[in-house]
Amino acid sequence: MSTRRTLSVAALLVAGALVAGCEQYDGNSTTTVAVPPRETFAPVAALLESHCGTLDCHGSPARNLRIYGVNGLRANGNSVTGSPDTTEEEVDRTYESLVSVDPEHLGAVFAESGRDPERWLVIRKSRGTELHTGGTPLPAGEPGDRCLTGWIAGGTDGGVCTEDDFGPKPRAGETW
Amino acid sequence: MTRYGLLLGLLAAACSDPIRTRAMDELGGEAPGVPAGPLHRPGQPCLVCHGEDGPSESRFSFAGTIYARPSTAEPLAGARVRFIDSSGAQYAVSSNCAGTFYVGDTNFRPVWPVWMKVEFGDLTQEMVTPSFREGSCGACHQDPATPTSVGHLYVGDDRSTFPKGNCP
Repeated sequence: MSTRRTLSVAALLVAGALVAGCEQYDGNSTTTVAVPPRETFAPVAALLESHCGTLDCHGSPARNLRIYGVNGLRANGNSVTGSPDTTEEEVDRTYESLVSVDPEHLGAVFAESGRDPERWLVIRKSRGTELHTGGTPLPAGEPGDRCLTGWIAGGTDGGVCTEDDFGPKPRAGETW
Repeated sequence: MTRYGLLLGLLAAACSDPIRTRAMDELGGEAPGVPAGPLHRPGQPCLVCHGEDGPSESRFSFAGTIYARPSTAEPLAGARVRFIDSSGAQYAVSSNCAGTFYVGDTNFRPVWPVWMKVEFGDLTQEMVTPSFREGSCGACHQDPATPTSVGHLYVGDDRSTFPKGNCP
């Protein structure tokens, strides 16, 4: 077969695949995915606020994943960054934003009690195993990581979330 | 020749960063009587121009303006601005008579995130959250405070007294 004929056949195949792809798209179809519940989310939200929700990261309205809270993005136009304290509405908004990221994989991890959590994009980003401008905010195995992975495994005890010790750590012999 | 000129023009246009260009445009012009230099544009997000890809020759890792009090825009000279990064490395710099400070990018290359605080005499204000990527204080600390801004940086409260500034 000549090169020209080969290219023509390939172009026809690609065009056919594109047409078929368009025909099979159903804009009205929905998929229902079970995700971790809002009821156990509050300690996770507090963790995400400090590790991810600053104004220069996911506390920016320019981000797809938005973290709301007192020291970052406010959900209510009457509140300002810094005051008043994080509201239930903001925890709701953070929850909705978080579970909307890669929901199929989140649902799969949740359905299997947390098995292989790195299937969910957010865990890969937070552990730094996938390119993330914000680095590795929740290293694997640390309390913050266990807080988030525990929640997506269906855990109801947010106690590990409060073990997270996030703040400046001066070197030996130095003070801050 | 015309074709090459057109091609070069297109390449040059493609290389400009429209987001940065718009951010620079939004800064407006220089204030009358204040030449470009350490005293210019207090309170603005310095790294728009002085950042890694900015047009300025002087590059900063951090820069901003310190004010004396929360409810007035009186700059504070001589405030000590301290930084500690996530590796524990520390750096400090003082504000000039315009309240402005800047950290050269070769002097301090932080491992993000970075925590900061400002000291003046017995007064200290420490940031509640660290910065994860932003070196321009003015990017988040714009006036007035809004749902996406915390307002300007300050050290004291509205009753604090400070020495009078002496900027030219």
